[in-house]
Amino acid sequence: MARKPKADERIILLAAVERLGHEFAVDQGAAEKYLAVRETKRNPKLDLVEEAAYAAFSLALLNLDETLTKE
Amino acid sequence: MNPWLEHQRLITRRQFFGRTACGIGSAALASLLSRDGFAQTVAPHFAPKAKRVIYLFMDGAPTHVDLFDYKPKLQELHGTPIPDEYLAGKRFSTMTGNAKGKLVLAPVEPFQQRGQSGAWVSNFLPYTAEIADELCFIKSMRTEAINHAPGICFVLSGSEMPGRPTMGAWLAYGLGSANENLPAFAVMTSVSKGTTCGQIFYDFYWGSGFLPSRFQGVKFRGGGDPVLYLSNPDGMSAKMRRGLLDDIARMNEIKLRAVGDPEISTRLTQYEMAFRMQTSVPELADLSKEPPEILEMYGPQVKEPGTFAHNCLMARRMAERGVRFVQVMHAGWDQHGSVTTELYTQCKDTDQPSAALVKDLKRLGLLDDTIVIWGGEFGRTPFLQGDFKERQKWGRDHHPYAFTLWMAGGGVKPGISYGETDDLAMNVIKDPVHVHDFQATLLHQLGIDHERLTYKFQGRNFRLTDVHGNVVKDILI
Repeated sequence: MARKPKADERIILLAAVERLGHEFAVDQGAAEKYLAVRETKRNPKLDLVEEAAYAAFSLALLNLDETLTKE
Repeated sequence: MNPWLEHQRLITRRQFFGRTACGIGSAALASLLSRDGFAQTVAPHFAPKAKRVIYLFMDGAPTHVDLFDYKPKLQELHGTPIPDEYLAGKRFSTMTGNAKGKLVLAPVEPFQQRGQSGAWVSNFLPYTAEIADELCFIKSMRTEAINHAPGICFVLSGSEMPGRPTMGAWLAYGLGSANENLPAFAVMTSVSKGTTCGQIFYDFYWGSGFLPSRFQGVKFRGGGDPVLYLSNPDGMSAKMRRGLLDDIARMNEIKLRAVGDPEISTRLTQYEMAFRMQTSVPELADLSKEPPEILEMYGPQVKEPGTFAHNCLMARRMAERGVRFVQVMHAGWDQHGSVTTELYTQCKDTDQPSAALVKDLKRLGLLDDTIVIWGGEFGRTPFLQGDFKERQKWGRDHHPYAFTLWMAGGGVKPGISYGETDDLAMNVIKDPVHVHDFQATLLHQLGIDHERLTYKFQGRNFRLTDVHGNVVKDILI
């Protein structure tokens, strides 16, 4: 999986990042807990909520069939 | 879409859906709804006597000679060379090699006749002895394989080579699920403590072979989370998880429309199953409402996840919740040098829970339509493996020519012993039951004609019983 999203996928993916951002903004403690599992140190310059949203979003991307299976 | 790829991928899937006019999208939806009455299943072919199966698989091959198949002549000939005529035309494992001159070994513990039925059960199994009148002992089982993995694979999939669908997968495919929140085919494994037996539980023992992979057994673990990675990561709410799963599903559906790989719809259904299992599995594994006397019945290890006792109780809870096929595997029965030592532990760990399971199912009225099976992949030699002078290390080698298995419930006659071996428990001499006959009989009780439950793969129809198998009607009510 190393390609740009197509138009229909773009709509789904952008909506996902936005929704996750809203959800972590409401509960910043959850964002901290979610980001606590990691090997590298957190970069304090990055926005906590945005980073958590993108991390969760990546979890979805990494679990797509296309990521896991070579057709 | 590439028409050749589409053909290659979907031809079997279309057959599975009975050549209905399902498009790919609706086929994916249909697989989400594969429980009773919601999607087409290929069976039952006739009214079933049983709805579900609990298979207590005794991995390593329990010794029929010491546990069930009582032969006084073994005592008479104890320590003398086995007469040649018993060995004619037989091959044994490489450990035994040529069996000529091997010494007869009498059963380690005495036998008694039990219950009204008078079934012979060794003192090794006092709890099983107590429920003898509920059991149908098949004394004339025989198989093809002489080693464990091929033997187990043969019993479970009808082939010594891995790669065919196992019984649970066939049933999930044929009959669908009766509970949309749990898998139709569940697997649990355990090993006796302190055993020197090195048996491995290969994943192909619950594989789906060429059937769609959503029919494979789901393994429940013995410690921590019964199913791995079901819980949400820290900081992720259930709402977030749901949203992400919907996003993944939408993305995967786009891919499914583009390439049509049925394994994508498997993934879609399994993600949804995992989500529902976030609720159903903790409820399943919560034993706090089990009455103390019931827990006690299963024995002291019942509260310890990962033990056979715990798995037996879990199997009953799964049966109650409609899991079609529960495969409870217990290793440690490979007594090459431990019939006078480890066999005791082995029996102690399994005897009480196995009997408790049958009693418990009966108490709940579930035994009528649940089949419980207890048995291994073959038997053990009536002759000694090891040095006769060293009793502590007496053992028995692999023996495919005869072994005992018991069944209970699900329309199988209780309180009978079926079939017979010769006076040394070496060869079947009456009413042989080959593994394929046993498989055909099991499917029959579930309303399936074993000759008609087929799946086309690589140009030919496959079945659990290959081109063999006769239903053993004499053991059925």
